[in-house]
Amino acid sequence: MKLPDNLLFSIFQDQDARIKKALSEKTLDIATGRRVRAISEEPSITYNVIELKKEIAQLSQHSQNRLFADTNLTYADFTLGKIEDTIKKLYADLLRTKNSATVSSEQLIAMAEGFNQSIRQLLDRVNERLGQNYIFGGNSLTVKPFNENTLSYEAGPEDFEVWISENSKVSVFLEGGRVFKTNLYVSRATFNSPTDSFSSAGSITIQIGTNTYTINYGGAGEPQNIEQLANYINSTLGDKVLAFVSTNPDGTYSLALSTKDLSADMEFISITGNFSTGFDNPNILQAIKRVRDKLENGIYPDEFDLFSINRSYDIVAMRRSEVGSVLNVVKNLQSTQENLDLVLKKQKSDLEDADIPESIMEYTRYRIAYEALMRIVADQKDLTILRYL
Amino acid sequence: MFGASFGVIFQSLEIFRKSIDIRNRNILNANNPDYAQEDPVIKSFAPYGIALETIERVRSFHFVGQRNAQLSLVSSLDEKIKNNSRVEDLFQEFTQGLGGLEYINGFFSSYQDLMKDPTNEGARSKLVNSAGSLVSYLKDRKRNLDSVSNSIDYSMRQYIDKVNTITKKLAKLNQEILTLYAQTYSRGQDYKNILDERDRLLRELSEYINIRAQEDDIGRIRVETSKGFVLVEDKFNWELSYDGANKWVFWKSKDGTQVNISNEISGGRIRGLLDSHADLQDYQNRLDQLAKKLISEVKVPVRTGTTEYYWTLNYANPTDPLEVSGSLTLQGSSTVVINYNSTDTLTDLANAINASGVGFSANVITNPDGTYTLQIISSDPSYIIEDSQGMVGTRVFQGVGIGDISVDSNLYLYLSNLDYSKADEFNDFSRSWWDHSKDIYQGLTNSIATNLNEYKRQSDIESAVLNSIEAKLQELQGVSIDKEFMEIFQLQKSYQALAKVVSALDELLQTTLNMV
Repeated sequence: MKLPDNLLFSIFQDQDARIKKALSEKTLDIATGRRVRAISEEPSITYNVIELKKEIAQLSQHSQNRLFADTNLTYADFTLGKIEDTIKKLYADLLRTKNSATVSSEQLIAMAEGFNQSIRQLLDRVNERLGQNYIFGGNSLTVKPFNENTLSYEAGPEDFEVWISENSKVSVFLEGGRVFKTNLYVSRATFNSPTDSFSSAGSITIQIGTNTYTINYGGAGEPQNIEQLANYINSTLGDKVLAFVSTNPDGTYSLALSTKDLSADMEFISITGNFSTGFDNPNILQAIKRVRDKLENGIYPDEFDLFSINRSYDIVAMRRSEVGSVLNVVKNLQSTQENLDLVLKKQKSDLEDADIPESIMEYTRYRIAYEALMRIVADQKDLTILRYL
Repeated sequence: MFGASFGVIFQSLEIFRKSIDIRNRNILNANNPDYAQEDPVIKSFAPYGIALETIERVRSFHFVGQRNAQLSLVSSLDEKIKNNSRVEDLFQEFTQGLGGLEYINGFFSSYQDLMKDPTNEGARSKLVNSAGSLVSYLKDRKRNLDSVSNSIDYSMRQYIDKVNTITKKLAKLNQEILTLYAQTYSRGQDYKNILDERDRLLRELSEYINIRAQEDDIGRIRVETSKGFVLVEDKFNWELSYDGANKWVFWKSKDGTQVNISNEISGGRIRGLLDSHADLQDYQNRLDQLAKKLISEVKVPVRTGTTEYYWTLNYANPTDPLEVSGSLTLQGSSTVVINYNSTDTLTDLANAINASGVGFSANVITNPDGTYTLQIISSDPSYIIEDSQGMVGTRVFQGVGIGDISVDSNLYLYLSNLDYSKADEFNDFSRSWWDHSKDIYQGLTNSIATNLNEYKRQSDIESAVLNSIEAKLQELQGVSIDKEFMEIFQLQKSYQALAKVVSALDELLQTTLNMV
């Protein structure tokens, strides 16, 4: 073949291949709904889609973690609410007893039984499990948090945390020792009477926040017994520390201290003299048990008992509000994550999915072009001398 | 009286008949792309008559060479596209749920799921299963790539055989050309249609390997590779062979020595296969890199129940600082606490563990990915090892690479001894492992995608160039049917005129005889 047949044939071949390819692509776009089907079609899209797939998977995992945190914290919140209710009832009972002038020792013992029931209920609550995990067991997860005899905390030393986004994690299983810790302190040194003189002078140095305070006792011009010491502390450090003289279950007396501020904590830096044996720091269960033990022994509740139950209630309420605020963050994150998920999926869809109306338009355009090409070839191919022979 | 005239007429009629034959041959081969148009060259010896001096073959050896070189390039690209497309088919990232990344994401989601809820038996099973699925996926792809590699080897052997067959035929043609040239020398040298077969073979050969061809005066050719290794000369041909183990192509010299010409071949399907092998090797290396990364980096927080523990982090050098401070508690025959700080090295820590004497020993080892870490061996699986920063765990995957990667058969047992208190730290670590694995996989798919895309783009351009050269060649040596018919009419008229002269002479002779 020679020109013009050959030129025409070449043009036809080129155009035919090009249009057929475009037609085939558009047909596949419409049939599969996808703009790219193989990774080599658009390497940059492949790269971005893989990136997005991973981001979507990670987001999905964070969403699952958030849901897990939501479920567990909701249950922790519910449980703390129940504990709060129980302590509130104990406080009401105790206040009624305290305000009543005539309560017999038998009535006190009967009341102690009520406290006992409540402690068992509280113990059930603080040792509550969700699935295999203790909700107040911290990061040990499967270790029962509170000893049924001593009521002391024995599980993980830290909260169990879960990542709910790229940069933030939340506590899901709380460390019960911290949750139910009080800022009540009862001296291990006991006295037969609030007015018994100190046998050994000394000092108590405490730290509240960043401030350190030293309380001297037993020396000249200093408080000589726990009653005077309590009054002295209340008068000099009353805006920071509250002091009480409290009856112990065995009938002896101890000095009881507490921070004025609910959320503040107190640390004993050094103790000398009569109080050198230190102070007990009961948790909420132990604080309630101390009151129960007194009632059981027919001892009338004192001011500190009422304060300690009230403080326990306040602490649980505070912890509940802490859990509530985290829960709020977790719940708020839901809409953010859902929106982000939609955005990422849309980005992925924009990259790999076909715009069907546009593809149909293109398909029609290429078909018309193909038919036109065929017509041209048909018209041109007969231009030969052979027709005239 | 008319003897000389009859002689001239007879010779001329014979030449016109032959010329018409040649024109007919042209028309018959009008659609044969390897056919070069022939023109009879008739020389006039007026007043003594005409002679068929030669048969001219309308062609350009330069264009043929250019077309063949371009064909080599296009064939090479075609081969690369074919093999890379087969690899591409294995990585269906745009089909939901079938991409390799789904396995990687599935595994890491399971891992993070377990670290979120480590006491969950279902999450443990899911991790073990998804680790198994990931390993199966990697091994399946390895097998698939091996299969593509084997098929490339098979094709390579076939192509080498083809090249050897063609060069042998060309050498034989050289001989035939010489013989036919001698036989037809005095009769117009009408042997040139055999050169079409020669050109067809050269074109076919160029498809497999790029060549340089030189033609002598009578049409014999000398063929060599583009870098000068002779394949055909005179009646001899030189063979190629293939070493599948090393992926080398050898040129066999006449003295029996073999020369590796793999790097000297610059086009043709054989070059395409050699390049496909190199691409495939790159993909296999990347897959191996992914397996090595998984073996080296993925660990679970375990504190007892095994005798082999690893430091969680990996370092480029054994003398790099740990960059983390904490304490390692070894509860063996007795309990020892080893404190370390961020400036200590793996070697320092290994020395401290080895000196503790409570039933633990440690070595700085090289991970499969080339990084370094600490391997701590416990002499009793009931011994406990704990790190304050979650720096101790055990590997999920075993092996040294893609060839032998497997999920540790005791993984389920390890998961029942998880150190829950370190789950969130390991969850945090897993995000970087996930990123690393994703990056390697992304590099693999990116390499396949960009290679194939580039080959296709190049092929589109080079095929267009080839078509253009082919068209040019056709313009030059192809047959124009219109022109051929015109030529035949002309020859027919000349033939008829000459035939009339014969009858006129006959009449003249008859008249003369009647006069006697």
